[in-house]
Amino acid sequence: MTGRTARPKPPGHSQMIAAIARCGDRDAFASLFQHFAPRVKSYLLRLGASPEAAEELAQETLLTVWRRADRFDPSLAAASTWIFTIARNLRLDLARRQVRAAAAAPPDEAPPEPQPDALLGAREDEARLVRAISDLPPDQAQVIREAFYSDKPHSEIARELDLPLGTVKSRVRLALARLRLRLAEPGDST
Amino acid sequence: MSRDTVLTGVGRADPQRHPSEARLLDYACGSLAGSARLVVGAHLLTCPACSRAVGEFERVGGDWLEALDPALMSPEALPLALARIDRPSPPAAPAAPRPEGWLPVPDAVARASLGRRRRAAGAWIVPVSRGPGAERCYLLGMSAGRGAPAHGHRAGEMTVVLRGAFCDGDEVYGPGDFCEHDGSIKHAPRATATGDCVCLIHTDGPLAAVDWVGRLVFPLLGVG
Repeated sequence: MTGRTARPKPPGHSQMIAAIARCGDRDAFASLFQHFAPRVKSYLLRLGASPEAAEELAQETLLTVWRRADRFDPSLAAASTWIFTIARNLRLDLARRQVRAAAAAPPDEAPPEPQPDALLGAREDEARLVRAISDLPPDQAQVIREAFYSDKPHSEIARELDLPLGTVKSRVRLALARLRLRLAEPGDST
Repeated sequence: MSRDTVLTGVGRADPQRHPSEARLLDYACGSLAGSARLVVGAHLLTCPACSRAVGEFERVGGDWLEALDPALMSPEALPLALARIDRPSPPAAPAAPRPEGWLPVPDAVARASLGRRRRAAGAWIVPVSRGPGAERCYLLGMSAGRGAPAHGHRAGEMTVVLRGAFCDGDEVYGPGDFCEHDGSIKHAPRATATGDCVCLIHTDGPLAAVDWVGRLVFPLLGVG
């Protein structure tokens, strides 16, 4: 570690997860819940979940944080990264169950449209995500942004941006190399 | 040569044997679902370089989550959560044993491997999952030196090697190797002479036999 300040990440979330693992610290859980549950709900709303489903999955996500706190390794990932992967996996599990249910019963309703709430403020979030990947050239940032922001596979992004698949692939490859450079910077190896 | 070009593919000596970075991004953000996710996930269990790349993309996801505008939770959300953590957690399903001689596999694959094998012409197949749509996922075993009849694809295919090795034209794919084809390829993969080969395969559609052997064998295996 050099004297460089770490990137702006709220301090203490990793320690809170450690406190849950160590002694079932309910205050730590409440703090984590109040910080992350609304963000996880926001993430799910953005990807088209209904407010009820988004709230329930946010609950499930934080419940999973409580149950699996002992498996969290702060040397491998930031708290926000770990919680993102939990929310993502629960969302995929739910989608899988829905596919199975849909196969068992005839389809009767259309998939939920993105909620108006989710679309409001979209621009703002987009700007913030750009900041998260701010050292990427615009064409690379655009592909990464589309992937997270609209949950589309790269083949679909290529179609929508009217780019050859190879171009999208090479942009992702270059973006990864850049992200890696950023992670390799001294003082940023949390 | 630009700096970016030099940095490309760090730790992935032969990109032909790994998912593309774009696939890994799909995996990280969750847009890769179903059995395609299972196949890439099986590769990640054995490939530190690709796992690291996924971790880097997931970190972008974590940063994004952190930066999102918090949504409004219902007032009873936190009391409800605090009540729920007091309830005993549901017991985890016991993990299925890893088949002997295979690389580590996702639990769903280990469980599927216990299913009944359909056998034909030196190969066997166990279905892992079906759907949505024409999507199929299965385990394919090939006896040493034997192979699948020549076939084409009506849609994409992803394969990861779980045991042994197979050759496809001049290419040899060994344990943990991943390969992806679009619908245009016609090939006749075959286990190397050194031992049996097992692969986990995802296809977006049925195989298209190119000769009578395939037309005979694929329906028996349930992949035609």
